[in-house]
Amino acid sequence: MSIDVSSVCLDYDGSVVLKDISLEVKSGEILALVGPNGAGKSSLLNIMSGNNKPNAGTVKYNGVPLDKITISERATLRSVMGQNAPIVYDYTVSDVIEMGWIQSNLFRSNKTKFYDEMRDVTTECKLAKLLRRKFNTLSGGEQRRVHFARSLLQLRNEHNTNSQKYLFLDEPTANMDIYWELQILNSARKLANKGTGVFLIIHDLNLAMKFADKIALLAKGKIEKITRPEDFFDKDLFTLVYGLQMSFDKKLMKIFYF
Amino acid sequence: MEKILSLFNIRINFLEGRQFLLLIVFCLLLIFSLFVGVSFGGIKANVFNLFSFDTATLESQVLTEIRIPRVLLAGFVGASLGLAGASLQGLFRNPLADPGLIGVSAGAALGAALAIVIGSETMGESYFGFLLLPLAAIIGSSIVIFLLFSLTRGFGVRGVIYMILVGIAINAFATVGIGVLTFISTDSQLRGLTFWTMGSFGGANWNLLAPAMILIIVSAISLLRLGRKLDLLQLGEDEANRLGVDVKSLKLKVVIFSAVTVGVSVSLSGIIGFVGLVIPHVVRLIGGVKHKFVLPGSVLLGASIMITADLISRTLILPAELPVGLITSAIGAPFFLWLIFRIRMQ
Repeated sequence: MSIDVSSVCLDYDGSVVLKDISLEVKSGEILALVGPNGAGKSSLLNIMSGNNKPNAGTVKYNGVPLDKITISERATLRSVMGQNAPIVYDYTVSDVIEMGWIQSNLFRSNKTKFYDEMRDVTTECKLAKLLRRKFNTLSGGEQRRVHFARSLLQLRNEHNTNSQKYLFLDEPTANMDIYWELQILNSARKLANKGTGVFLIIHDLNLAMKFADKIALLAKGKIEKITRPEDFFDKDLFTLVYGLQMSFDKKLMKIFYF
Repeated sequence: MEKILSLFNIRINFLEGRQFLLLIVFCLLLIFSLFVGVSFGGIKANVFNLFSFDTATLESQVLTEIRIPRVLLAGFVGASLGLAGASLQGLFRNPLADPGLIGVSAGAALGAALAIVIGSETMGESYFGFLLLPLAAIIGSSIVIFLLFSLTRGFGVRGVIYMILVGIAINAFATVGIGVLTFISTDSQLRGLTFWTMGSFGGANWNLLAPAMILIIVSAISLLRLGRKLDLLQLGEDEANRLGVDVKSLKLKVVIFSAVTVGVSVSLSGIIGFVGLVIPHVVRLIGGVKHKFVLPGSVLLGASIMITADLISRTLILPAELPVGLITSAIGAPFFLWLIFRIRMQ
């Protein structure tokens, strides 16, 4: 079971955003996508999540083409933690997390299960004390945690319990302190170990090497490399892509760039 | 920590319960205002006499022919404007969206005015002509909402000021249109025209009210079912889509049903300002921002407030009558200023 992206191309206003992208997010694996700003990472995520249509190429979820899956069905198969915009009205933290419970009618669905799952994700993200707070009064990092909890809740929906589910994370560690960087990625790791496929966009190369099963490097809309972490480093390529002198310590599995 | 978690079930239940209770309180308030609205006026009337089969008295004639339709009309218009305001504020993710402020009511008024001046000459007073008025108003409000929609595409956050500016332009355009129509209209048409710009429930009668009630009820029910989706839309269009909302169809539904409720209301009562802006905010302040609560809350509170405003307008300077728009604007304008101040502070 996997999400298959094959030969995806995207043009925007005449300029090429994505060139012939093919990759696979396997269930039980974390695929990390790294690359400089403007490389097309979020555009690729939007195509994979079904928010945008590619000019060419296909995306398949567990073998089914994405455009054959309805919008509400997609929501039961994958959840996305995007780079979120502010919320205008004063929703509470628990309101926002609850939005991840994609049952069509909360009051008709299994309430006990909802409360159990809700309690579980709030504990996992240590949000219990913040539940009654207004979302807008939280710090940037706390808000990200709330969105992460929401994405986790969405994966626990009662639909498609037999199919594989997927979690997309777009720079989940942005604004997070180092403790929460590790917490979030550990949660993702745990989910992957239980069979969820995780697609992770991240800037920190060392975190990507530590947590991912495979890493893809995207530069100028093209996948330059896609390998296991230990084979990932390529001095010439990285210097070219990032414009920095870099070195790699194989024992520590760490990339140094300053 | 454990303690908080163990309280968790009860707390969520409590909140839902509290909002449910508030809706019941709003219901009681509406029943009370209906009762007071029907009882008081130029002639004091006892509602319960209606059930005494003596329909020939002046009192019961006043009640059935004049006052009850008028109070019902006020209630339906208040509910429509409150609901349309709440829905549009949700759709545009903009706390300043109000059917009056952003030009939707003006569009409806222009449509209605066009129907009066041009339509009455071609159609006469036929049955079709009397349906033409609400239809023209609905078309007018739909055009404005679609226009706003394309002009503010993908907005939400940046659009707060922009949308108001577009609304000013549309309002100005509609004023010009109505002005030109006033100029070329005949005397009897003119009397009809001035009514739109002032806002009044004086013209209420059962023939007009019955079809309007059906249209408003149908679109109100359709809007009330969209609460959860409007909540998800607050996260942004992409996020809502990722949570399973067909955003395009949601937008289309909100636009059409708001246009119908506003269009029908304006065609019956003219432009009544600020209700659509103020009511949803009051509801949010009292009980929270979830649309499952805000939408029905705005319906109930909008109806009660409008019935009360109409009662004030027709009893304050008896035997004369104040335009009801004057009352709602007198309350709404300061509230609007306060709202702008609050947004600036944030």
